[in-house]
Amino acid sequence: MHAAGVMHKRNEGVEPRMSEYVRALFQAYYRQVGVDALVPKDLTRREFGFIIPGKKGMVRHQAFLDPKDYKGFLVQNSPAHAYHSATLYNSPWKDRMDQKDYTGCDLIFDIDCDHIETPCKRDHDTWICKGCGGQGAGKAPEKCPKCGGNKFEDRSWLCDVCLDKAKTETRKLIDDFLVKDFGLPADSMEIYFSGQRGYHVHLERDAFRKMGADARREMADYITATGLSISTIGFLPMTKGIRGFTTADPGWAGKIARGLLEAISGMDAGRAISVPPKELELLRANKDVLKKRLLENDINWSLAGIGPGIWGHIIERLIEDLKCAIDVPVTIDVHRLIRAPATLHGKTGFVNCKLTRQQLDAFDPFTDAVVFKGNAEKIKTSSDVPRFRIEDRTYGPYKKDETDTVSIGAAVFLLCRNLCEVVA
Amino acid sequence: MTAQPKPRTIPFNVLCKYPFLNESIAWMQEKSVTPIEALYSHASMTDNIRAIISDALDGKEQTKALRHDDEEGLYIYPWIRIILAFLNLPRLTHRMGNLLSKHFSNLLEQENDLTVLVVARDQSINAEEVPSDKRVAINTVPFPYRLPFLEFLDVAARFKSHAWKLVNKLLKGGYVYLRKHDLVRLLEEVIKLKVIEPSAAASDDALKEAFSSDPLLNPFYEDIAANARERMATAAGGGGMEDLPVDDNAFPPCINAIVEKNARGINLAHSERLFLVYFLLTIGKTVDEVLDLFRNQPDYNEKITRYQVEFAAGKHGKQTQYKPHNCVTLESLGMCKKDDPQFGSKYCTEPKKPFKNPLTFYRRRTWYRAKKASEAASARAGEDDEARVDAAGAASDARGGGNAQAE
Repeated sequence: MHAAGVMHKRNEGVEPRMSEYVRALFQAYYRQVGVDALVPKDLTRREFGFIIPGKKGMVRHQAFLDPKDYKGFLVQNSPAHAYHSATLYNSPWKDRMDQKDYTGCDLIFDIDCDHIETPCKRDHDTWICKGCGGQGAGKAPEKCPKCGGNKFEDRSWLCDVCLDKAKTETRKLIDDFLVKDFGLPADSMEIYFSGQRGYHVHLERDAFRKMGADARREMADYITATGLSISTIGFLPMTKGIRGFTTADPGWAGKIARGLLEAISGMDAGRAISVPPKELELLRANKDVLKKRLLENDINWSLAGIGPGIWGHIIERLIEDLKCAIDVPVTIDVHRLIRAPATLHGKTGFVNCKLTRQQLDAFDPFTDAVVFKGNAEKIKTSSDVPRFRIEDRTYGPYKKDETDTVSIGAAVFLLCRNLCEVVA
Repeated sequence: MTAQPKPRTIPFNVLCKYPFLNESIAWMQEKSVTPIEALYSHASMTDNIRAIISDALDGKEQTKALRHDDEEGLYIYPWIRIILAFLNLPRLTHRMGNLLSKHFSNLLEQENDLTVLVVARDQSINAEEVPSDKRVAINTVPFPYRLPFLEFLDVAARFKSHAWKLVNKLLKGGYVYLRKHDLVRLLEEVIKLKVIEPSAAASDDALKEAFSSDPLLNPFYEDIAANARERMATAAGGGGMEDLPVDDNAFPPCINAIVEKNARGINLAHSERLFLVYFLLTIGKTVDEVLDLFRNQPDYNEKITRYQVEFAAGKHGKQTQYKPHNCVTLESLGMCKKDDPQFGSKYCTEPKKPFKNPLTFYRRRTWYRAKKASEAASARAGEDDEARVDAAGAASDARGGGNAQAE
């Protein structure tokens, strides 16, 4: 079983560190939070797992019959991370998976900004080679340029750009795929901010819980455009010309046509379109004819200078923009642990927030997920710290051993990442 | 007070033509005729059962022995399933699944729209006609039916063809839009699953006892059983189906999964067959060795299969020798088994160097296994040398001298 949203292997055999300061705050939070907010649907049929400071690895195979016992456990142990199974079992407490008696599994979509390429990652993410200690910015290379080693410690960071992109992808998942294509009402989904890097969307109706791995994979493949064949969906280069799609077509055919119409309409407004310069020029030259045909649902896509090969490139780039960056294994896996609602994230101190589709639009993780507010604290950094924002104040960048007075939310954020200490 | 029979919604002639329907089975149950009574009351039924089983053994996709115009057409279907359950020959069961599903799908293709919809709904495929204001046509081809996507996936997620992936289907507002042919293809799969699913007759001891003690039916069954067992043994190349001449020790998980499926006589999807052939030929298997493997398939036809395997080997057509699919293609086809609990391998999920094609997996494993075998052989040879020296010393001692080396 894997835990979504955590580097599971990193915790194996390692006692997670958490300062007493943070632990006391976590405990205070769990004392005051309402039971109803904490308890997931079907509490008694789920397995729980916790990362608890001072205990090695993950404390697995926990189950609760009474919501009060669950809250009591959280208060007593103040876990750094709390998860429950997306799976429902008849005997969730048994410590062997084959004895738990699987009855179904929520369908989960995970959007994590770790899996989304954003330009800012080059500015705020760093890596350290475990072989020679060499460092670099951005994503870790395949091989260390200094020693050729291939083991790195990734130091990823969070910023508004990354989390905004994750939110955009979540909106795309809900609006363009789950509502429009799969016909699900927006209020039939449970939407959560994970507490760190992204969002989870849960589908908990019985019909979804009964889905097998193959059907889950097919849904994931639809959303990520895996296995999409434009010729199979009707794109036909013929001797007389090119047969394209209309904006009214169901499935990916209509999605591509609507994406193309939006892209060429955006050209007038000066918006960028992500196709190579050569293709862009050809589209620009033909945009009025093409726009007219798309608006009239004309499938004739024959245009001067744009043959099947160039169309192939253009459609490929459109698909890249139109598909959604879900973490596919999370959706397919029916034995996954997922972060528990309204629990605190041990790497940020942020709370896992349940949202409605309307709330998602205005949701600001760096403000709305911050639990510990006010109370200025003096901190001293223990490492270089990139710039970050908590509520309406931006902090850093800091050099190692710098001191500053920050809000309690910012102090918790840095303490959770072992980047500072509170100066008495 | 006796229970009133449920009113029938499907005409009797349709029930006779499609005996797998739930309503057909309900009709038979209402009649309260025991299976053995049904067999005795239809004179030609035993001969027709024998002919249908023979057609299945031949790998046919149509049979002339299924009657569609009277009660016999109804009663023969449960009897075929009862005999399959008694015989317990998985490959014959799969061949029968193939024969009957293809046979009924051919009939359904010729039916009017209403009958296809009625049959689909009886089989819990709740397809509906698309309302006139929501009609869909792609390149002038109409898609008159639609099916909730979860019901579509219940059946179609098993298909391996690219064209049947949800991503390549017309999905809108929770419905997958279908042509009549698509709906019939879904039904074909449902029928196949019904035929091969375990029958309750397998554990019906009373029926078994009544059947085996009947003076006329027992020789009929024994004759069918002997014939089927002999034909299945011949089809497997003279050995048991588990003794296929395939060296699977270095195969990647994706190939192992297909080989195992084939060994159980399960009908392989087109993409699985192609991948298996390309892979086996590329690693150096001969055309005949590949052909032997396919003898296990329910629809095996020596002439067609030989031509196709030889084509893949570059002996016909443009003489192209095709390579097996890359891992990414296998993933999107749902044929990648790297994480499969039965077939998965850490050499796929945690390779020292990433690879793109399962051939690399095979070559690395082959090399590694050869190296280990060679090391083991060297170690054994060293032990033998030591043993020979010891033996020589002992022989010398026995001869009474310490100068064996000088000799």
